[in-house]
Amino acid sequence: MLNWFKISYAQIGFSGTIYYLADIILRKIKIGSVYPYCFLSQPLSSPGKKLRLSKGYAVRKIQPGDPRLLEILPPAVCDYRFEQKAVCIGAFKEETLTALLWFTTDIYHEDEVRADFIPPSDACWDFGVHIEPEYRMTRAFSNLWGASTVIMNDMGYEKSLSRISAFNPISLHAHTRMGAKLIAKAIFINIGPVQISFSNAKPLLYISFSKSSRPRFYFHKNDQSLAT
Amino acid sequence: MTTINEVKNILRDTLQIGDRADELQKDTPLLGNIPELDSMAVAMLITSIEEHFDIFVDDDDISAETFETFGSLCDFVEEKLAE
Repeated sequence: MLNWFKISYAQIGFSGTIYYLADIILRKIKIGSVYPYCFLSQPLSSPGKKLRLSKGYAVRKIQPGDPRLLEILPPAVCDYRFEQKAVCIGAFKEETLTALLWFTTDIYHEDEVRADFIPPSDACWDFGVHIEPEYRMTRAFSNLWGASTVIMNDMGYEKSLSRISAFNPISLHAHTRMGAKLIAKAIFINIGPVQISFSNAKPLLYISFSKSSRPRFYFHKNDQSLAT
Repeated sequence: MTTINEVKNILRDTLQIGDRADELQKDTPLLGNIPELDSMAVAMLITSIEEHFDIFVDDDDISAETFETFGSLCDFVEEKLAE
């Protein structure tokens, strides 16, 4: 137990460890869960280190109902995302779908917790990045992200916002290496039908008693980077 | 500086693994052992290797085996340098 705490503390800090422990206990007794989120802003023009695109990949938008998309994601998930006008971008290698990501330019309706995230006018919201297992050690991701940033830029966006679980320090570091900055944090605690959220972005505190009650987080052009 | 040390420095800088880079031996596993080595990191790592050694890495040149151990990555770089 002490060793687990030490490892967890080293990776996600004291508060993260407490949240993680609370999540384990709530899930164990089957009454709830804890989701701590970090909100990141990724500049689209300077992704840390410039990634080279390769000719072997074709990156393009994927339309609803594409059978290659449905081989990767359940139809209900695709429908939920397309219904909120999300754009799906895929990286194809010889017509094999190797990687995909989604972004929305308006409200992002989170599907893990009850919350909506609204990016500022100069930003989109990316989510659902997936790389097929056999392509994870290849350039699939760099081609996908590189071409997607061009598409987002062409649509007039300068940055892309996203949320990462604070339980996933590796992903957080990976985004930071790409030039992302942390702009806000939030924690969602679900106990039975009740969801309590705390955040340093408004609404600072929100208690939801039903599925229709969702806090809306508005992000702004001038959101400053938080100390990590 | 040997290729091994140069690759070690690239891993240190690209993955930001600090002193852990000093512990890398040829038989040290990379995949599964260095959690920082994810899909994003692979892309940046390959780009860094290309720039540092002035080589071109084709998509078909790399696979999971390339990143299996520190030695397999060094061997890959040396093979590309010999081309």
